[in-house]
Amino acid sequence: MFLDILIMLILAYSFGFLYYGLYRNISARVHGRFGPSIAQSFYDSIKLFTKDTSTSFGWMFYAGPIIMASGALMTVLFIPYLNHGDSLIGFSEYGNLIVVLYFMVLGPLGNALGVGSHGNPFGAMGIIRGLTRLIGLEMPFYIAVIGLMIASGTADIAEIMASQKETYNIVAHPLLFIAAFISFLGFMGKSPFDVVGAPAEVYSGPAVEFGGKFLALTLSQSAIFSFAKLLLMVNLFLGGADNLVDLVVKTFILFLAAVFVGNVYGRLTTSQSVDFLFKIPTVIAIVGLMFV
Amino acid sequence: MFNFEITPLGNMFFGMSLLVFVSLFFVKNRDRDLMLHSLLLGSLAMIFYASDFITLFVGWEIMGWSSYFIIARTADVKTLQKYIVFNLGAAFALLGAIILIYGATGSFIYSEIDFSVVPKGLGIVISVLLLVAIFVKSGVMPFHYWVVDSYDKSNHIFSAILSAIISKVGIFAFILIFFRIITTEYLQESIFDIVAWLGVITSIAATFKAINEDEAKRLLAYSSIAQLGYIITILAVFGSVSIEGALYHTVVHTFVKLLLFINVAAIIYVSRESRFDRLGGLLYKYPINFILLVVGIIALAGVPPLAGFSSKFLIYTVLLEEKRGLLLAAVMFSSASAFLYSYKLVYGIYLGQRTSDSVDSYPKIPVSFYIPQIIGVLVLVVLGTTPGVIVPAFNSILTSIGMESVAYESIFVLGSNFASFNGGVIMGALGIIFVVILLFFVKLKNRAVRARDRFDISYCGEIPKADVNLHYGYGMGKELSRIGLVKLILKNSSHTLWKRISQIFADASNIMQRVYNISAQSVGLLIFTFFTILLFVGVK
Repeated sequence: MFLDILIMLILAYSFGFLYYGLYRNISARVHGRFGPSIAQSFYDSIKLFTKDTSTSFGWMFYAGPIIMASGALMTVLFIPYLNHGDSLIGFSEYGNLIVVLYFMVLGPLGNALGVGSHGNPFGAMGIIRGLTRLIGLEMPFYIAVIGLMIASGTADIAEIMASQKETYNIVAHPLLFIAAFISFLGFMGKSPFDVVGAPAEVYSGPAVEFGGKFLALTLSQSAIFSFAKLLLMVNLFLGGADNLVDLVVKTFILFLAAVFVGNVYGRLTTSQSVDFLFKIPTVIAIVGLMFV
Repeated sequence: MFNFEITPLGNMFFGMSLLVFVSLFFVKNRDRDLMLHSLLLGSLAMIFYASDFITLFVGWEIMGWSSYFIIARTADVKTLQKYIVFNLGAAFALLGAIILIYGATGSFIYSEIDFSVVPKGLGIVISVLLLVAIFVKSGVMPFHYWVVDSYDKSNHIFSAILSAIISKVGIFAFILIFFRIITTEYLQESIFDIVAWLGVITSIAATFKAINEDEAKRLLAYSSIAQLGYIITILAVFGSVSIEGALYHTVVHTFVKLLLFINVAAIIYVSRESRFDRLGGLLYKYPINFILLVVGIIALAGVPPLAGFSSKFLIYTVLLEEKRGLLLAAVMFSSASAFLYSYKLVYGIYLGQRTSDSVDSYPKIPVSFYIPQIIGVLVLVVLGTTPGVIVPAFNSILTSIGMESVAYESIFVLGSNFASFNGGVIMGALGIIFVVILLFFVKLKNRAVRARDRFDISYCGEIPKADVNLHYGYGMGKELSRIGLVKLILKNSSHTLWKRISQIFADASNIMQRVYNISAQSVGLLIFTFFTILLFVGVK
């Protein structure tokens, strides 16, 4: 059990940063740059873990990233990696999809508390934008997930994967997939639905205020969390992975799709993106739900 | 005259009320009225243990009036008018329904009422009347009009009682009436679909109104309306698991709101402020109160590992099993949006920047304020770790009202065939992960310098001046009104509806007045005409 969990976390950490490196590289090529080496994100993470934070704003400021990281780790540990067998399942037999969906919001809550305690009004403003966007993203995603749960007759992720033996859900419920994928773009922090944490707009966002090892923790948890979301999408719509190679291929395809879309579009403002998410993807998801 | 019976359902509701009242007994309160509070508790006992409708109605009335006099100690006339009009309306609706039930079945006693003899049309009328009474107490839109003002204007202890206990009387009446007495099939097909949607629309609208609110107690009042909306929705779906979910959420909501209202009350007690733009930055002044509030909002938002998740989980699985996808989507939407007002509450009071220079001179929070809060936290943590622990109690309630009992595996596991989760593992795993990360970070040496003062922040490359407002308590959530759907919700309010209805009543009373104000000759003529008609009718 302990070893299983450790391997899961190491896999999530490595894949998360690998994909982050690839993302930086691919975007650079799209922009006509060379970009950093793929391993740069690993170096950054390890370097930052050895650095200190220069300014302290009290204990809540530190507790924020820790709650955030706990949320990300719990999310990844409640999603089984493979669609068969007893290895790499973590705690998933003690939970289900609803538990995972709710652990996904524990991170933003910790982040919000940490940033709020800092006292910079712009930080709190960014948090509200982030949380507002989160509502918008959750709406189509939740409807899609509800559709899948009703269709498979269970909320257990392993059983949802098992129900896709014949046809993947992406084929069986294409409308639900489209709606979920649009939300997924935002969950992955890709345009057009992203809220940037750093200087671009929310100038005093989380990634700016946290420095040193807390920045490292924030980055690591976001890498692990991204992997958890890829994993969840693969499990829900692509039938899960038979083995680790399959896992890499499927998550990579999904990741690539998100990166390409993200690179093509510009960013919408929060109200624009939520407005859009409440309209088109939500309607697509509701139509998809009718067909279940 | 009055008939009582001891039922598991009554025991549960009265036990909760007793716990809440006792925990609040010690809290410092400037406007305490022991006589009225004990009258209120007595009336609750009367409602929860009644075995006939007359006892229920008398208890209902005493509850309404004793609450009225408690609210009247602090509230203004407008609030009281709203309260009394709505609660009298509810009482009349209840009385009307009771009389109709007696007329149709010939009995006031629960166990003797055979509702199957009542014709369908009359059955629906009776049910609608009863639902109106329930909706007023639980604050389902559009009958919530009195709720927010009364919660806000009554003293801080009584706000907690209103939200934690009085609003649950509606839930009790719903379970008692529609699961034990009126159990006809046609109701489920006709009006309960509408009731389910009414509940969820209530919760969505109230959630966004709460986000837009600038005052802590009003925010909590709207949140209360939203949470009761879920309970009504889940009850209207019918079935054993739906009652289980509703009862679970009732328990959780009672203690969450007890915790949150008393937490806010403590802040209002020491600072005499309740607006978010005049509070803020109190985290390091009152750290224990802050942690208690965070526990409360985690449970309110339904995030694991606390009990708020357990009840939300049950609500979701019921709706999934019944294949009510759209209803569930709406519930989840409201539940996800609840995050924003939860954050606004904690940010507005404790996080951000101090807005007043006198914060340092605020007194300590009296210890008595912690008693109800700690009781609330204990219940939430215990029900989060061992979510199954109250399922046997719910089963005894279910069997006592003639429903099937629900699945029970162990105290750690909650759920049905559809899905289940292990609260112990979740709490344990999260605790271990949190502590491991914490220890890892505590162990690393940190030479961070404490920020010098509140202006030591990055602020557009400048140092903010003392008169710059650095607390985001006021505007928070306002920008949501740029989103089309939210704008639609915020623009509309039940105020217009009730204004129009009150106008109709005013017009009608004007016409009545004209009849009474006519001259003596006309009255004579009227009397003459009346007797003439009577004579003709008699001759015939």
